[in-house]
Amino acid sequence: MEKSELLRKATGRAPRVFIVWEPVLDTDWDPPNAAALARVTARHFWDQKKVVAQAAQPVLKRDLSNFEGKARLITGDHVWDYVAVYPPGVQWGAEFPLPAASGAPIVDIAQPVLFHSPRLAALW
Amino acid sequence: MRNNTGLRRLFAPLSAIAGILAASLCCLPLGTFLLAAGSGSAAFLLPPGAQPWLMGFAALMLGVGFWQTYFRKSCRTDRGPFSIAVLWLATVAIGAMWLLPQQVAGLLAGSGTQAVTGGQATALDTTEPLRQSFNAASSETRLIALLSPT
Repeated sequence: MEKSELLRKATGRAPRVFIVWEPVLDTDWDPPNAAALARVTARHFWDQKKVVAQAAQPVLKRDLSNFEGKARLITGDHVWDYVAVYPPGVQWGAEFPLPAASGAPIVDIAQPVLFHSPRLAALW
Repeated sequence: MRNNTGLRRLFAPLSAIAGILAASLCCLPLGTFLLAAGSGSAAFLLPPGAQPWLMGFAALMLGVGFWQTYFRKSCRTDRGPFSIAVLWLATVAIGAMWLLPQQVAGLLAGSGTQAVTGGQATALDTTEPLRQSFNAASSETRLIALLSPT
């Protein structure tokens, strides 16, 4: 399927986006300001204690089969600059759910993860 | 003939740039400071790959500015209060961009410079709020991204 066709289908059925902002540099005191957040249609969270990264890391380290990109961004000190995609039906139970596709860093990987992953292509 | 015209076209802007650089390196520290401050600001507006280069260039230009102002004796650079003030202003601006990139980006983004903890961004002490939102949308395709603000 052509990328443009995938994009068209993705636009018609946009995923629900959750963005977890976490401090990485010492100067990351706050999440981005309201103007910056408003530009992205998503539910935003500010995770100062990196609780999501701590919950996700052991699960993601166990199974890298659906991961593309630089693994050190999930196996290093903490998980960051990372995107994970989940098909309908997946529930977050006792532990962080394993994604259908994921990758890092986002600037390099978002397009291949979202539009070229065979498992995700069927979703759009 | 065509080659000569092409060379002339190329040569004219290059010589203009070289002239500006030469003038700024010798007797116009103001130009150096503005180059430094401009590179620092542009680093926040251009793609991420350009940022380290522009910030490095800004640092280099600042170094040249300090050398011109305080160390170079042969050129008789004007060391008036205005040029010194501009030098230090550029230093503070670039230092802020290095040390407080998120806050500077917030200011450049315009309105709403206040942080939104507890507002549009929900503060997390546990994963529970995210988990509930994630499960509540289980009939849809979902995407979780972990990002730093800078």
